[in-house]
Order: sequence, then structure tokens, then C-alpha cells
Amino acid sequence: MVMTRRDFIKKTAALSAASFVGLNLPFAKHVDQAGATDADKWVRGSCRLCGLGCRVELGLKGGKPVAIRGVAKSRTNFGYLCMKGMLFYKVMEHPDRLKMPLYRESKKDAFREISWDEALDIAAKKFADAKKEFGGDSTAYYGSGQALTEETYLFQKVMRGGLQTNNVEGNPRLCMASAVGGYLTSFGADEPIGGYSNIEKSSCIFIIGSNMAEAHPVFFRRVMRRKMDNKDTVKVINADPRVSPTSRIADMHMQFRPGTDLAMLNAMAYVIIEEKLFDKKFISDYAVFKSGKNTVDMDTYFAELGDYTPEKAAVICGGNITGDMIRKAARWFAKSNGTVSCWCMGINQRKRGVWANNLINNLHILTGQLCKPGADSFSLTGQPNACGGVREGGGLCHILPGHRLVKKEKLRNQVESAWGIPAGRIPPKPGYHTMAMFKAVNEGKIKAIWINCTSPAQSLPNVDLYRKGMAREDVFMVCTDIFPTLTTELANLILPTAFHFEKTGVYGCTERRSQITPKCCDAPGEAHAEVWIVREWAKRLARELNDPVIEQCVAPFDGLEEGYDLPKAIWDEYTQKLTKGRDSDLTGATYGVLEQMHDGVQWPAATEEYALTGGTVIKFAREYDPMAESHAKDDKPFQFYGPAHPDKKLWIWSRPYKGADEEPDAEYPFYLSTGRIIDHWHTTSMTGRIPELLRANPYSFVEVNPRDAERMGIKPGDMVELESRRGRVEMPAKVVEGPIEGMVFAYWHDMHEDRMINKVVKDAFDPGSKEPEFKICAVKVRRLSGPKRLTPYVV
Amino acid sequence: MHRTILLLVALSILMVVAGCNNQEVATAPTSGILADHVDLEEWEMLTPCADCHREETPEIAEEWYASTHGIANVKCYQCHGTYEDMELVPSLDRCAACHEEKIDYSENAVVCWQCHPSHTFTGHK
Ligand code: SF4
Repeated sequence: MVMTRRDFIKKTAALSAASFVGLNLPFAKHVDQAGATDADKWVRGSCRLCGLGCRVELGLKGGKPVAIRGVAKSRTNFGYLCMKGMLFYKVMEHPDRLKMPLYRESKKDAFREISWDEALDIAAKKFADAKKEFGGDSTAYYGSGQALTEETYLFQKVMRGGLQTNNVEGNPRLCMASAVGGYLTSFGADEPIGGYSNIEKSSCIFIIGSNMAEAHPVFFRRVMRRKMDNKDTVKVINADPRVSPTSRIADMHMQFRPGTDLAMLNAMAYVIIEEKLFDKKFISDYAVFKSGKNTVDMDTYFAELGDYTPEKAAVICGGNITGDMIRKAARWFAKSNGTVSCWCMGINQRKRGVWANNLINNLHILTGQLCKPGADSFSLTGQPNACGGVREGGGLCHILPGHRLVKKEKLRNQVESAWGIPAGRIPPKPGYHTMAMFKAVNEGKIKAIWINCTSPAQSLPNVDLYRKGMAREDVFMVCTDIFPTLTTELANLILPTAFHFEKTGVYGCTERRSQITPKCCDAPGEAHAEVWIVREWAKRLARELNDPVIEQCVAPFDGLEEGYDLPKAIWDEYTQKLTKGRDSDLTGATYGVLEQMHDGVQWPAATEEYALTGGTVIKFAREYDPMAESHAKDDKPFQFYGPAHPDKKLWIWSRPYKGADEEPDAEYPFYLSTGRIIDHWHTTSMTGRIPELLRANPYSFVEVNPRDAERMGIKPGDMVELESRRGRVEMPAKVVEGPIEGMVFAYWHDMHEDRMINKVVKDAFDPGSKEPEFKICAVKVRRLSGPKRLTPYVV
Repeated sequence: MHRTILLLVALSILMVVAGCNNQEVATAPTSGILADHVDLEEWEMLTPCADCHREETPEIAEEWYASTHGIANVKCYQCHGTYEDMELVPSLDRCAACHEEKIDYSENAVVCWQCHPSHTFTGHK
């Protein structure tokens, strides 16, 4: 390995010397000392604190959660859990849980408890009034990759079929929309071709823009195991402007200037062609080359790569990148028996995120490192149900359930027919994407918005700008959540919801796998499952608007018990009517099947019999995927039947290098990048309430390269100001050989006003995927003082 | 709720700052296995264990760091818990969260560290 343990200690040892004061920690005061040995019942479900979908068993004593353990027979995690997975159940009994509907007419008033009847009437009236006066597009739903599929599906059904708006969005727009764009434009179909099990067959693992050791720890464990058990035969490349805990297992860390990876990836493609490392037969059988709107030949593509010889790219990339390093990486990639690329937000949260995705996919198509065990172009997803609920269930403004585009009339009509509502009821125009939605809130164009299970008042980029809109008196805001957040603080109506395990539903994880979590305990107070809330709200909405079509949207579910029968009926409608025959076919993944599985089912899975095998491990390969067989157009072993490419080919894209939207300059001389740490999840409304996790990382820190720190006189623990054109924060410094010189890296989870990094981050977004560029902007960095007393903060 | 918390935080800041000035800061009582631990105030408990233990118990810290637990970021508290429920020697329940099959296999007859050196856990003793 390139980096010795001693080197690494030197590079990354946290040198924090900050002192702390002022505590009112959000911990439950009476910690239940019951543990696994006390559990009288174990119930299988999923962890929800990243996109991996690790399976857990929740231990219950007298109906209360007391312990958790991994499911050894689950193919997602084989029993292993990270710290968040091991501890998340502790939030379920937390005294801060929301238990009653809370309302205030004016955002200046204090909240008061109200009954569910009153709450649902208010929500119905406000949305109905907005529709009557300003039209359906003055209403919006903003959901979450943490919502269950049944919830996202039912919300979007009522919004589209009922309120006649496609203003249906969710936080997955902020994290994986560029991967969707990349998969659709490269492979003609969304979501990865393979799954986690490719790691155990791979001999080269190319990690780019992912600190999986912290963001996807149990997947990282598999990668680590593969490397440690095969030290000489498996190569791990980590490409990232920041040296992170993931780098520990790398044979080579490629450290480049932020945003220049497009040049580096093009240079790897250049080497693959120049050195004839490509798979000629795979390309001629399955691929075409694209440049802009044109289909071109390989010579033209290669000529366009002329600006990216390894030597030229090394100059663009800076850092430790050399031409030889790029050549070595390209050779390892192309020559291995199986190469898996893994990436996450470092690639997706970019102004050119779709292009960056294309350039990774290019390498796999060129070398034929696809559709075979050990080879895949694998996007890691951040949230437990961004794939299952939002990408597949119709949770974005331009897509309907079952990977259908809103703009296609035929596909809209299929949905309308399945719902039994009149043809033409769903509007043909896609709604606002996330950033446009919150801009419309700012402009007062959206009068009523429903925010479910997410906190945009903390998680949007350039967040202060958008908090102004959410605070407007003429914007009625409903929040459904389990805890108070910075967003509920801006709401008119807060509706308490059930945590998973307090309700039944399905999460679809990173590897196309749907897994059920059953209700096994009661939600606190009067909290309800979202599916109940939406149904009851829609019935009132129908009355307010005197519109039987809205009633029809929820009529199939009327009267069903909310814990199990209701979500089951919703899942049945979605899977049986709207995924049948689609590339995300889940017809065989009935509740009955999912309940039998230790893990779940990878789609496509058209029959229950097939679903019971676990489903499709490798899409498009006839050997593994029955749909490749049934959609075969010739006798070749791979059939790329995805809906987005009419020619059923893979597309190799010529994409030029383009830098970040905002590059450093004389006034704002540093790159700022932001990211996750292992101890916390998103905005800390859950993990900030777990003592172990809060104590391990009570604040956001900013990592500063030692050479930059020396120049600016910054010592470990010193308070440092980060200022951009949008806002400023101050946080304690870690002086570490993590970020490349000229870049600082801030943790994004902290709720405290002084340390909330999204006030600084830029809201530029990818023109294709509309995903914001959280990962790069320009800042000033200034030492403010020595270590200061700080207070952890959770709303 | 927000205002109440802010108020409480402000009050507690005042109290602790005042306490600091008078050097009368109340310390959180340590008991059980923490009885031998240096007394910690609540704010000091916000220091990740490893920050001190790198210096206080360097051999253990290094063994852990080089182990698969260390590489995979299985931190101190994942096995030992935190101040309210800390165990110097973790109960098998805690190991079982990830290694239940192995524990079943050994039929609870032995503890993990009987054969695998604790903190390293690689290979057998
Ligand atoms: S890796 Fe992700 S899914 Fe698995 S236990 Fe950790 S947070 Fe949960």
C-alpha cells in the first residue's frame, strides 16, 4: 500500500484542542438499560441511515425497542452494521418525538396543539384555496429518500392525479439526480447494472468522489476485505481531492484539483484507446460513440480526446497527478479481470455531474467491464429509498411511477388508466425541479407546500436565500416529521409521523433491491403513518374542491388499517399495475415474498417464483436477467433494453472538461468542499439525539491542509471563518493532510447557525440533472481566534 | 420548543462560564467502570475517546488503528458504549450486533478475545 499506517496517522490524526461549554444535550434522560438479552421478540427490517439497506433485527421488550443486530443471512450486509445502524433505534423512544399536530396561523405565532381532525381540515383547506385561486401549480410536495415507497407513491398520486400538478420533488434531487442522468444517457436505463456482490469478484476497484469508509461503511468493509484478502491481486484506486479514511486501503490515491476529474477521466479513456486496451468486440456489438447530437466513429472520438493526453490532463489536474499515474490507473482499470467503479456525491453534486457520470461509464463500455461478475459502473446512493421510492416510485417532477417520463402522453395515459382517472388529468408539463421549486417559493408563486421527512431549511445550498421564502407569511407550509427540525420551525402545520418499524413499508436500496420493514411497535402519542395522513387529507381535499377525481385517487385504500393493510394495498397497486413490464418490474416482489426474504428482491422480478430467488443480480445479461431474454432482439448475450435508447445500444460520450461554476479567485482564493462523517446522518435531527454519535462529532469542523494552515497561522482547534459571496460560518479547524492544498473541507451536518455550511455553498446546478454543486465553491479562509467554547446544537 | 432550548442553553452557558471563573464547575459523577477514569465534566465528554486515548493508552490505540475494526471505522464506543452505559469489557451482546453467527457457532462457550487478541482481533492468539 502506498500509505503506511504511520503516514496515515500523521496525515489524518485529529488534532482537535477545542474546549466546550454550555450544554443542554438532547439525550433521553433515562437511558433504558435493557439490551439484547432482555429482548422477547426480534423483527427484521432495514437500517435507514444510508443507501446501503443493511438488514437489521430490532429487539423488542414488551413492545419497546431495546436492541438491534445485523442479519447475517442478508446479502446487503451479512450481519455487519456501522455505528449508525447499531444505534438508530435509540431515537424511537426519545422524548423529543413529535406526538401531536401543531399549528399556527401566522409564522410569528407560537405553535399550539390541535386535533388531527382540525389539522387535516386546515391542510385540505389551504391546499384547496391555493388551487382554486392560483391553480394546481401553486401547490407543491417536497419529499425524501427516507420516505417509504408507499408514502412517496401516494403523495405523488394525489398531487398529480388530484391537484393536477407535477410539482413533486424530493431531496434525492440533491444527491443522485446526476447519476440518473448519467445512467440514462450512457446505458439507456436508470440504476446500476450490478450490485454489491461484484466486489467479491473484482480485481480492480476504482473509487472516485466517494468517502465510502464514512458514508457507506458496511460497503467499504466489503471493499476493504476484498483488498486485504487479496493484497497482490486486487488493486484499489482512490481518486479524490481529499485524502480520507477511504484512502487507507488504496494502492494509489489520485489527488487532483477539485473539478478537474473530467480531464482525468478523459485522459484514462485516451490511454485505453492509445494503448489498445479497449474491448473491440464489446464496442462493436453493443456501443456507439456520441458527440453532441451526432453519432461519430471511434477515430473522431479519439481525436476529440486529443486535449486530454495524460500529460496535458496532469497539468489541468494539479495535485499529485502525473501522466504516468493516469496511465497506470487506466491500465489497472482496463486489464483487470473485473473492474468496479464506485462513486457518490463527489461526482454527482457538480455543475457537470451528468458528464462526470458519463465519463466513468465510458471507461466501462470501452473496456467491456460491464455485465459480468466483478465488473460494474456502480453509483452509491446516499439515502435508504432514493432509488426505490423516488427514482422508481415517481418522486421527481419529470417522472411518473415505473420510470415513465411525464412528458410522454402515452405513459401518462397508462398511469391515468391504472388509477382509474380520466385521460389527460395528469398535466403534460413537468413541475419545478428542487431549486426551481424553492425559487418559486421565494417568489411567492407557490402558496402551499408539503415537506415530508426532510429539512430543506438546512439542506439546500445557499440556504439563507431559500429560508426567506419558507418564512413568508403567504406561503403555507406543512411538515411531516418525527422530530423538530430547522424546517419545522418555519412551518404553519407540523404533523407527527411514525418512524419505520412503527409502520410498514418498503425501501429500495442502492443495488435495485426492495426490502420490507414491518410495523412492530406503536408510534408515540398521536403520530400516524404518512400513508394514513395523505389518505385522510386527500378525502378532505376532494370535499373542499368538490372533485370526485381526488376522492378516486384514494378510494381503493379507504377504510384500510394503516399499520399493514393500507401500505400493502398501495404497494400492490404500484407494483402490479405500474411496474409490470417496465424495466423496474416488481410484480413478483409482493409483500408475501418480501416478508420471506432475509434481504429482499432485486428488480426486474416479474414473478413471485423468480423474486423468491432474490431477483436479478446483473441486468441486461441473459444469463442472469430474464428480461434480457424476453426483450432479446438478437442472439447476443447482452441486451440493453432500457427505455431511453431507441437503438438499444450503450453510448460512449465525448464530453469536454469544464471546471466548477465558481472557481477560486483573488478575492475568494480557496476551494470549499463539504461532506459527511461517519457519526452523523444528514441534518442530525436523529443522530444528534444519540449520545454516542453526538459525542463522537459534536460540531462541524473544517479540515485545513497543514501548508495552508501554516501560511495563515491556523493551529488545530483554532476558530476559522469561511466566507463566500453568499454567507459566512465559523468553525473549529482540524489541520490535516486531508484536503489538497488550496482547498478546505467542512462537515455539513451541524444545525448551529454559526456553523451551518450550506449558508456558504453555491446553488449553481447541473443543466441536465438540476443537481446543485454542493461540492465546489470559492471561499475566503481567515483565522478568527484560538480554540473557543462551543455548544452542540440540535433544534 | 426552540426558544426554550435556546434559553436553557444560554442559561447553562452562563452557569458554566460563571462556574469556570469561580473554578466551581460541577463534574459529572463517575461510577462503575468509570470510577478509575479521570473525572469528566459533561462538556469534556464531548471529546471523542480516541483523542485522549491516543496518548493515554497508545498501545491499545495503535492496535485498534491497525486492525480491521480500525480501518473500517468501528470506533471505541461501538463496542464499549458511552458514559451512561460503558463497559470496560464489552458484553457479547455488543459483539453480537455484527457477529451473532460467530457467537452462535461458539455456543457462547468462549468470548471473542479468548482466542482473538482484543483490539487487534486479527488471527488467533
Ligand atoms: S452502512 Fe448504512 S445501512 Fe448499513 S448500518 Fe451503516 S448507515 Fe445503516
